[in-house]
Amino acid sequence: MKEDLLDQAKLLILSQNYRKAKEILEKLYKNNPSDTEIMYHLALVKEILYEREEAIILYKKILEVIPDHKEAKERLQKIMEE
Amino acid sequence: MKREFCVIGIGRFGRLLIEYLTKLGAKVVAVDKNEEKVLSVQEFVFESYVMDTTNEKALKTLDIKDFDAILVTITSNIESSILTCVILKEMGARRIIARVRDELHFKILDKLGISNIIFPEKAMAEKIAKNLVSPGLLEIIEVSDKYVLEERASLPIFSNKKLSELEFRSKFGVNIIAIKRKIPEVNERGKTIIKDEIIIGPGGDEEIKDGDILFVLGEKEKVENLFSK
Repeated sequence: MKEDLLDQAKLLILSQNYRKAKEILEKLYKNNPSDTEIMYHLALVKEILYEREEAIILYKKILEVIPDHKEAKERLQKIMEE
Repeated sequence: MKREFCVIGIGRFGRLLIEYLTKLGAKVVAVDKNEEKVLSVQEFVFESYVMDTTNEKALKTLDIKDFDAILVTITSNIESSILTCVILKEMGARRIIARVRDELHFKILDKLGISNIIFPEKAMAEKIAKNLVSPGLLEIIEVSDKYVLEERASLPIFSNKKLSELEFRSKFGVNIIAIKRKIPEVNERGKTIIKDEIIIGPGGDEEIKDGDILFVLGEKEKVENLFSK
């Protein structure tokens, strides 16, 4: 169930349907607050939708758990430069 | 050819300027009357000097006219800042950019004919205030007293509509001259990533997407009206 919804959210992101993806990811995150895969995709969507501060918090949380998470590190660096 | 700059005053702001200029590949000469400060940047810069720049004779030892711009960032002593700017002007500096610490400092340098005056605290306060009032406003360039070029987060009501449908020019009197868009894709590790794409001079068939950043050119009031919808 969780995997199916996450896959659905990923597809929605790839089809640039960010608001629908955000709805799904927020629900998933609420029920799985330590899942870094969910966190990462939610952070991406929040970044795209200008919820910059929340995206930063999520990227930092991911890096606390996985310090060498390449993609989260890159996004955090980019967002801080902007 | 490398652009050459002279930074006079190595406080926090001056130091940051030196760091960015060198990072961008410029040739930088740093000057301050405090030896410790000069030593602290010595390794980054092309040349550095301990010098009191209110002393005309001392300042004349620098080839002032060779610099593309001289950045006077002294704010701890307004008198020093003013005297330095006056001497530099008299010596024929090509471009002087002076940092000021308050309105009075600004007025004096303005009267002296320094055309590039920066007041970072004021500019930042203005930017933060504008951003708080209009959260989607990312950047603003005043093209003239009347016209602005603004970098704005698109509004949800524009999403999935073509530019021709939105009729920005005929209805609102503004032009969308570019769109910055984040494009999602999957990388070689199977992870979703986003890349920036810029669409310059978008045509009427271009559809606005969620998350787009619009570069809007128009009269200040008209741009404001459009985004206060």
